[in-house]
Amino acid sequence: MNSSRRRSFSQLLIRGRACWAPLLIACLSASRIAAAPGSAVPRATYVGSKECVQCHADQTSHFATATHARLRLTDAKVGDTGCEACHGPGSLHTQSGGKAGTIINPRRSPETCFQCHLDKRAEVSLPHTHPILAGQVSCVDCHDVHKGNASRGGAAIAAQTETCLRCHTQQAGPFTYPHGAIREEGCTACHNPHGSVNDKMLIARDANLCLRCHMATLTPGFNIGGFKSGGAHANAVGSRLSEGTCWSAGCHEDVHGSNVNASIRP
Amino acid sequence: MSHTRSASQFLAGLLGLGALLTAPALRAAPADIPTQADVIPTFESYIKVSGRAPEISGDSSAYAARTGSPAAGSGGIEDFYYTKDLSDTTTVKANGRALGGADDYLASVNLTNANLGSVEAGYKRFRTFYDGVGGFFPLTDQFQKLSYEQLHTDRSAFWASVTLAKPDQPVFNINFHDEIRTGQKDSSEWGSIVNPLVVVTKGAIVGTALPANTPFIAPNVLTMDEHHRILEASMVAPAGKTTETLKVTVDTVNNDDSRDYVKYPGSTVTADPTVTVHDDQESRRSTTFRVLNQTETELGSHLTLETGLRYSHLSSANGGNWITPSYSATANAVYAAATAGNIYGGSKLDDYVGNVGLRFTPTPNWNADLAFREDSNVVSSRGGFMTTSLASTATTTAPSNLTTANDLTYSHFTDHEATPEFSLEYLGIDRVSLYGSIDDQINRGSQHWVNPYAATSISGAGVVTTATAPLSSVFFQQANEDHEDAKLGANWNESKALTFRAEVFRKDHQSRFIGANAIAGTGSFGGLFVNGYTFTGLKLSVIAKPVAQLSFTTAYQPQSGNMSVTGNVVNGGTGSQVTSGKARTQMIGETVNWTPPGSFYAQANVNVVYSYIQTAYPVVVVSSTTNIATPIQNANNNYTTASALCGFVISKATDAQIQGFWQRADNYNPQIAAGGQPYGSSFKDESVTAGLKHKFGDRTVVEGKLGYLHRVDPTTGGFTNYHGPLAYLAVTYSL
Repeated sequence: MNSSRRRSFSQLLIRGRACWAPLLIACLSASRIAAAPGSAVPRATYVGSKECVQCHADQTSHFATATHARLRLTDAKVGDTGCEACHGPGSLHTQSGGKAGTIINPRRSPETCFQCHLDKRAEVSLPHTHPILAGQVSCVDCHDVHKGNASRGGAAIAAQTETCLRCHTQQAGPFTYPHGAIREEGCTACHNPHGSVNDKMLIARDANLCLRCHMATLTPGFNIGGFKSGGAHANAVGSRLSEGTCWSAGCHEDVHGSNVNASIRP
Repeated sequence: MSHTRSASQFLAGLLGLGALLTAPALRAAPADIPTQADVIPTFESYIKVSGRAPEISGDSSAYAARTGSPAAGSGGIEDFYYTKDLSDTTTVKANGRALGGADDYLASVNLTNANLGSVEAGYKRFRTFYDGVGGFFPLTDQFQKLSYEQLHTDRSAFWASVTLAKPDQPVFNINFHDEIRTGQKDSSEWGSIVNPLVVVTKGAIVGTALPANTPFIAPNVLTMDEHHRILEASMVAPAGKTTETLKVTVDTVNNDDSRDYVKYPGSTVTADPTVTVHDDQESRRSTTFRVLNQTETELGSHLTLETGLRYSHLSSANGGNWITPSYSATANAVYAAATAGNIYGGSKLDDYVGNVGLRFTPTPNWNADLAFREDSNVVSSRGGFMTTSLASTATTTAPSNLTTANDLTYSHFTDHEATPEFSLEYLGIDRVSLYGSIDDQINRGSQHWVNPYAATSISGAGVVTTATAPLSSVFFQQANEDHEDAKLGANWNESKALTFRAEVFRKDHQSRFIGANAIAGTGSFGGLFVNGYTFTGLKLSVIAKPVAQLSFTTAYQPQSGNMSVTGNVVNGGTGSQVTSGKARTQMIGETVNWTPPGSFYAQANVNVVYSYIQTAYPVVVVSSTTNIATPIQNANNNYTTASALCGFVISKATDAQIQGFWQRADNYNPQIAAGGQPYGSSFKDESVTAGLKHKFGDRTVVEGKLGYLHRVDPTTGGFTNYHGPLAYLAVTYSL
């Protein structure tokens, strides 16, 4: 394997010489401005947030209450550049009367958000995530960036869980026997909505997910989560714990709530 | 081995190809390209037609699930945008997409008059792919693939909206959304394993044996048919210094989902032979009526008052069947036992929410927000169903040997939730923003069940068995919950070259339940269950710009927490608090942006995450006599992600871009298979792409990319690996 790796690397170097040179020459011979995705629109300059208020009062009127207002980016010449911190310099946008393509629109691309939220860039690129990079879901579908708490919740009228249940109606209930985790902590008790290495964006793929709460004591005796040797949930081979996740088929499979069974199982 | 060529090797080839492609452009480029030459234009109205053609070797459904596009390729209109000013005050906008193969469609039109309002209507649909993996058991190299491997779901939405917005008049809006989700997806529900060497007596497993377990994984497919309609009318009206919002919503849900699973596929033992189960257990119909009133009042230049009131009434009806196959030793057959058949019932919910908030800005340097939310709700639910059992002495599963019984269960929940919230912000230090906030969600509720179908009852000291609680059993518990969240942070723009951001947060959530339960025929007992966790964490980031064109963004986020439970004394617990879980996460990330003047830019990003959750392991161990590995270990969620992007200006009309992506997780421990299911996630993803974008005239841009993808996944024994090249071509034409 080592020799294979060395070979591939050397191949890269050898072939690389042939291909890097024309690219570098090309760059040196052209002087047009190159714009990275999510960066500023080329040749645009900062104009300050006052310019934005004229057409976008809906977004600017409550921005002082927004989480992002704390960034307080300022420019010595134009003052507050709060809007342009995420939307980029807005001179071309204002000069054109608001034409499309003259300013960064984070709704169309999460690149702007990733500039600060490095961890989210990694999470949404994991195998199990919402289709954010595919452009089907936007950061602002779940986060209020222009008003109030970006994560919602707190003393707002709408509870944080309502963000998820807007699309995931099957999990909304109410159930005769709701899963306490959803009632008490919401969907994020078990899921990471930004992405996970685990299927269904789960925080843990195995029984650890449940045992965080359903493990009263280990000794003595069988308890809520069950670990007494010889009990149905005990650790021996053939026990429930060895057979798979707690929510495996035939067991506590209605994890979001049941209408017929207190143990969310048949 | 040639088929496992890595992405880095392919990168060399791509670069070579890129060089060949750019050579003509280099020859054609005039020597004196003027500065500030035209960039690749961003058209105001345009149509972009594209095609994507992968040539994947390996598991095509895994490719589709990972990349979100089908292995057979896709093509069509990737983006269409048209805008035109019909008059000085009227503008029409249209947006569209139609990608065949990917089943990705969008069509919307918006007509806006600055003096009157707007009309908008649209339809959107997109597909999500799933790979249909049913599980893999490493000891026997057994891969369970779902019968429908290439699964997908489609989400679609139709919407229409009319807004009346005359200048200086109240704004009225009516909008309608009809959202549908249909299709199939795989489930994380799969297990279990049974050692084939165990003794099976009359359908029951007796004792244990040494390793060589055989996986009896139960692959599971969800079929969804979900409909969600929202009709909403709203008014926003200024009245003096107050802006008032009134919104009325009718929300209906009509879902009819089902689940199919194969229990014990490939089973060779007498007990629990293979059986296919179809559950239509999740049909749901609900209607919610909601009315919302919000006000915002300027009480002076330093004080703003916000209020909100919301009432919701929900009624729902449930249906379906919940089936569990069971093996009968006497009948020597599988039958549907312990079922909840012919389910009926539903819920009624009344929810009252009110909030009030004061924003106080005594000086430009101080902002204070004080808010309070009160939520009071009552939920009443009932579930009726039929159970089926087979007589213990029956030798056949003939209908005459099956006994059915009808059950009915009720629940009643009340919650009174109060949430005070306070936040403070200080801007009095030059280039510094200091802030802090705290909220505390306090709930006092009651939970009441009558005749639960299956509940725990006491059977011997320290041992609990699951049994059906007979009629007239009553369970009651009081909920006393206190969830406190707090954070403290600072942003310091030291200069244009250096910015610091730091935030410390703490979450302390405690939920206490005290029960008074009466199981008919068994007796009454009290119960106690306390569940809580405390998490603390830090978010630290530094943005350094040593020169204007170069920036380094570094983020470090450690967090840790413990979860605890206090068990029910009567049910055999010790009654003392026990740490049930520990979670630790360390994330460090770095992004570098380099945009030297002119013709080149580069971005690179690395994230390293170390994360684990610990519960039963290593406290729980298997008896040394069995020599079997512990069935559970820590849940590790470690991974590393790296990506790089370089862009070049090749000529006045040509750009080039090279992109690389690498991601790896290594949390899979097949040794666990000796005692349980190894679920940990491990994979390695690599991809490189190189592309050119060329402008033809003023109205046409052609974009081409070549890439190579490579993925390995040891958790499926390599059965879902894939690799291969990918080509992409797009033409954008200005309208």
